[in-house]
Amino acid sequence: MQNRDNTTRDERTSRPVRRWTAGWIAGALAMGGLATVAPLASPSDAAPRTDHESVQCSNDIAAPGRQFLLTAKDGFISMPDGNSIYMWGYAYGNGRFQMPGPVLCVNQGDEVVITLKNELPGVATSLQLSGIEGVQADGRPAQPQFDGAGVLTSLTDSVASSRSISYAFVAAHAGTYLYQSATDPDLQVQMGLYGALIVRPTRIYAGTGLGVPAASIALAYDDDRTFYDKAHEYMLMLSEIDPDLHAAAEEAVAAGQAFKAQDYTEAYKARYFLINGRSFPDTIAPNNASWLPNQPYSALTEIQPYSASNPLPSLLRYLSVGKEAYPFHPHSNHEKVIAKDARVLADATTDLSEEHFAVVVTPGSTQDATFIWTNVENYSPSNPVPVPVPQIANLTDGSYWNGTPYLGEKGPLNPGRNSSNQCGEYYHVAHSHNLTQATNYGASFGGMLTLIRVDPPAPNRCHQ
Amino acid sequence: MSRSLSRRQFLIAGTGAGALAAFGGAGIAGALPGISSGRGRTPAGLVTPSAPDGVTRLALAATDGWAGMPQGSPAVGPWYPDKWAPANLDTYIFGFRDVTGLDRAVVQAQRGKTQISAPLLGIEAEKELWITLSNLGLAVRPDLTDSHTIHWHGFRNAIPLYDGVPESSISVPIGRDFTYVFRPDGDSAGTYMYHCHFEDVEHVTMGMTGIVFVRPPQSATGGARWAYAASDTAYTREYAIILTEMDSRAHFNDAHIQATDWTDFKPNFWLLNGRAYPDTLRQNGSRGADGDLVAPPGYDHLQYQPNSSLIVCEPGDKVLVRLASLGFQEHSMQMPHIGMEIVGSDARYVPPARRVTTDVIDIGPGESRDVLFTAPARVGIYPFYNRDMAKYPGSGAERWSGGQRTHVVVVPPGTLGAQTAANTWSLPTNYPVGA
Repeated sequence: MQNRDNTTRDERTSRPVRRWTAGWIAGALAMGGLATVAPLASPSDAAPRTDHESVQCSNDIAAPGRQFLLTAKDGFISMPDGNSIYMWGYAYGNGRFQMPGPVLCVNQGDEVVITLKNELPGVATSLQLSGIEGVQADGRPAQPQFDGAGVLTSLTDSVASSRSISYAFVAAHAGTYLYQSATDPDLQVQMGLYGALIVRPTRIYAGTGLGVPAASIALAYDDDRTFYDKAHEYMLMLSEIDPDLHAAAEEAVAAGQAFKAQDYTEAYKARYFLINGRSFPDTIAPNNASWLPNQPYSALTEIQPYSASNPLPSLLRYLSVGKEAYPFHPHSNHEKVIAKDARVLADATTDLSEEHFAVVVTPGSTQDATFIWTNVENYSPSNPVPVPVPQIANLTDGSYWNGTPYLGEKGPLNPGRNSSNQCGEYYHVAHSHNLTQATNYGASFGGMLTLIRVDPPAPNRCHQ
Repeated sequence: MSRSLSRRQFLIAGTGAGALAAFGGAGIAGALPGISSGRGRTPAGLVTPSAPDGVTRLALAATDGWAGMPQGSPAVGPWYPDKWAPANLDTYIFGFRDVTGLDRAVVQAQRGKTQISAPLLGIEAEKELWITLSNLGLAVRPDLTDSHTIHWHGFRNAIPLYDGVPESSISVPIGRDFTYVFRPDGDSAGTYMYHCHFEDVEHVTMGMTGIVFVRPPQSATGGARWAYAASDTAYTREYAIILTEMDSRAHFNDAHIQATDWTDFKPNFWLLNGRAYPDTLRQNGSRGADGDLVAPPGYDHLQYQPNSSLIVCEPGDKVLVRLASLGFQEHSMQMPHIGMEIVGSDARYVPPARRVTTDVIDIGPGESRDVLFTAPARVGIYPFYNRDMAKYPGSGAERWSGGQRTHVVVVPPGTLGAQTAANTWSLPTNYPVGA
């Protein structure tokens, strides 16, 4: 019970009224005619903040030094249905418990040292980076660990409770990497010991013709074909939770008993499905939302239509921590998968990227995809949709809808409908198409689901 | 952009009154004497536009109804067969019906008579498809006020109004209509899906799922039958098959006013085009003169599952199989004795240098594959099936019953005429197809 994060425990037991926006409530209850609940928040809260959802590195990549301290400790996260889940996770430095672990950002070629301090209750743990070669653990080549009887105890060097270990490696290839516990991983990964490492290329985009300032262009890989908009880089880390397993672990820890995941294999049944440790509608809250103190990462994507003046795609970094493949379906356009497992899908002459409307992210893998949306029809009040839209009283409307067919316009909604639409922007969903996973414990329009927000072209009034 | 602008003016001229011209479409073929006909009302979408403005207009109705799983399937608790089901039927469903060209009163009479899977739709790229969705309500559950939508899964550069997500768009209440407009551009050939997105997990698993495909534009093919705008995707026959799963408990719960925890989803039937083997082999159903569906002769329990999965071809035919999945599981579909070339994936062309030829197609939720094979020289029956034997409930000695299995039937040269529409064929009565 040492090092229990008291703040989250208090949050769990006192469970105040959560700062849901009225629009989220309305969206979650859109089915069944229950959408006319009284707003619980002021109108100014109705629209999600949108300027803080891009990938948030825990470290400043511009600052020197690639020595990181991660602390494995326990804490709680909250689900949109009010449930609190006992978790183990990696904290940044000596900071607070968080889920998933901190996003570490380094440059290609950097020598990286990650020191892992184990403050978990009475169990050994470790940190393993899938796809990174030549890792040194406390100065020796990292190796799997066996007990005296030759039984595997950890897939890499582990560290006992209350002690520390260092993992050192060279970040030889750019890309998106998953790090996770390799000790009793069946339990420890499910408990939340995972996070992302992003390795950025040192290459500067050398192409021409994009017509935008060089400072706005980033590369995902050491390859000019992997350019994207530096301001629109997103992480989508997919995972799942069986709350009964976590409750059993919590009880065992409280009683000072060991908990073995293998005792639970038959009963395993995921009920929550997460993006970046959050379940919709929490997925669209901004980074560091105050009401999600231990789940700092947003999964909202916010872009503007592709055009000659906005030619850069956004970049989506997918990581899967789950037990099965997640068929992630972005609405409104294909995504272009440009890399898998931190290797670009191209050789010197051939672009081998793939466009998909279902990006299937398999367990333990990562994929990088670019995304654009083009307003091909340019429907507007002066270029109307071919069939007149019925009066609003003859339609069921959604809280994210802008009330018209047209980007940047707003139209009337039905009486009692609380709008989460800010400036006539479009919203599209992106979600697991195993639709049982787009739920919060079986309740529709939740879980592994987030929004793609398309703002009207700049200049707009969206963030005034 | 210039394309849509010029088309816009054309359209405004064509629809000045804003009226929807009811559009007759293909003839309604009943069972022809002496012919085991693959021709039913499907595919609804491939009728040649006859409206002067060049727009294909379809009407779909969303409602509930009952379907029938293979006769003799093992009971599942109190849930299957559902004792409330009408004669011959056993499973409560939601779905889409093609009501194009029917009078309003006849459309209204289809309440409670839906189908699974949804009508097969198709359109040529650079053409325009209007689908008017009417919500007829639920005959068995008048207490439910569910709206419905059409979500064209994978449509490129969709706008929310026509994307069918209730929370970020509109949905269609009971007793109301809404017209969706789709203009697939010249680069959008391939196989897509459509489904209702209202309370998505429920409405999808209840049966509101179908295939919509886009043929490459006439300007690229010159009228040839190509899957994509490339001659290396040429085909002579075309079949579309959608994979779904059925958890009878959820269907029972919806009929009996019970809630379902969708994370408990555990299917007991696995379907191709809304049917399980051996029903997959039966011919297409059709729409009768009264607007109701007509069962394929001899199979009354398939009245509301009109879509066959039988693949009929002649030696040397280039056969295009459009596979899509709107279930919640991954599947491996095997055709052990015919090599299949994957020429399209998620409605994107796969060039020859990057293709694989395989006897197993892996496909998961929300994915599509376009598969091309050359029909073998040897006449006979070639099974195409889900290779996971746990995905067949079986019935009596028929271990394969209740699952995703169909047959490729290669018939002697000259038996079939040219295929006139996807998923159609005609064979002599009692031609052996394998069950």
